[in-house]
Amino acid sequence: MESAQEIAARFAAKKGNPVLDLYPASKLMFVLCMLVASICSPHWCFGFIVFIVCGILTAFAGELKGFLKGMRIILILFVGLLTVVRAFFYTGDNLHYFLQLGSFHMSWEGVAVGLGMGSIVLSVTSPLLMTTKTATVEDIVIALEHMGLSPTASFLVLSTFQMVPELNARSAVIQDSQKSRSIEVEGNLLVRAKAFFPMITPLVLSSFASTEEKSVALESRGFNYKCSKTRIRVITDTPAQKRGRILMGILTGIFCVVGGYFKWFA
Amino acid sequence: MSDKPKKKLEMITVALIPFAVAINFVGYFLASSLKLPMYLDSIGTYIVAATCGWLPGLITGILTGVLEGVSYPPSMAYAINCAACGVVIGLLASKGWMKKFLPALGVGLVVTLTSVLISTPITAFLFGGITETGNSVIAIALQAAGFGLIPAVIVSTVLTEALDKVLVAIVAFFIIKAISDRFLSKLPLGHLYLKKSVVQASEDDD
Repeated sequence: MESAQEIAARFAAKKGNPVLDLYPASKLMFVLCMLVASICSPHWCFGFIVFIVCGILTAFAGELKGFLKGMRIILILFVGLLTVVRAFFYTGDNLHYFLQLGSFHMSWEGVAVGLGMGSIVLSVTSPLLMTTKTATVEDIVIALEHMGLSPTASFLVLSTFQMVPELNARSAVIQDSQKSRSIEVEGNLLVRAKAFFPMITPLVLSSFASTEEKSVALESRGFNYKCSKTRIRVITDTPAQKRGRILMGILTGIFCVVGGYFKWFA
Repeated sequence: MSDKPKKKLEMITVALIPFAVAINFVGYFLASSLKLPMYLDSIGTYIVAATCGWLPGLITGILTGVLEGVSYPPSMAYAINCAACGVVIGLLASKGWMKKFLPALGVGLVVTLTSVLISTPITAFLFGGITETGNSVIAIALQAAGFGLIPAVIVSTVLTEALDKVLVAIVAFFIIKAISDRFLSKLPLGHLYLKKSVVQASEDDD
């Protein structure tokens, strides 16, 4: 008969890749550290360094394409456009202008402010996107449960992720059936707006029945029963990763103190 | 006897929240596919907050923001905005504001004000007035016309949020009206929306 360890080993969610198999709490700690460090960083290049590091880690996990696709709009909007807008509209004394378009002037100080804001956005979004690309929602939720998240909260998160594509598919079916009932979906704004209500209402009302069934199913399976829960998916934290997270926190703290001094006081 | 019929607690609210988050997304996708100039992405939050209370509304708002942030991380910053709107809707609904049409419009206006107050600092200080929606264009145009960053973001947010939130309030009002009494009786605030004949019948039975 299999021992508990052998059963756990069979269901262990290992993929054989060091980045993919990293415990989700380590990735979340990385996100938190980058958020805090980016605020205290004295130079705008910090965010770009974080972006490159996350890109390398994601490439190592074989998810670079998805990562770059997700970062593309962020790079265009929050780095490119933000820098240009701040460069044109930044006001202050003794600005050094380098470009004039009509009555608008672009200053180096504005560029630096724009890049600084873009850097903070990059510092947070890069690790976040890396985490979502290299860890499944189930693993992240299990890790949060190990840290004390309630099973109800876990159910809410997992059920939400499952329900969105399900309801989208149902919505497409309802759209087609309403179109076949001569609901106009093309034309002027009023015609299109009128089509919205008959498309959303059947979806909402038909879903209430499944909501009721789900609540009965949860109760009948003892969801609210106060006991330790078992799970079929196993992820393991290692002592090395625990030490790594503590070290990450300490290094971030030191960076924040030193960087903050140079940013605000020096 | 109390004028509130008995209601099933907790589990049905827990089961309703993920569905409400999904409805928020479906509303947004439907509005995009119909090429409407609004988001319509808070219908689920309105329904849950109005029928179950401020806490489920808060949770729905947070989950919506988190889920949006999975594919587009900057959206996660607005989770607090969605959560605050859920709280406001729940609190107003518990006072009966979603029972009639005109007060429901009022809920939409109050939620607009809440959304403007909370999302403006996020958009202005965290993202420099830039978002992935058309708000950016309006904000940039206003800044070019001489407006400061904060006033430009406030004006652009009011222009887009006012119509959106009021319309969503109207849609949610009519959807709640269409929910069966059988289901409403199980929800924490469902007794507010029961048809008069049902309430009268339960009182007569006593």
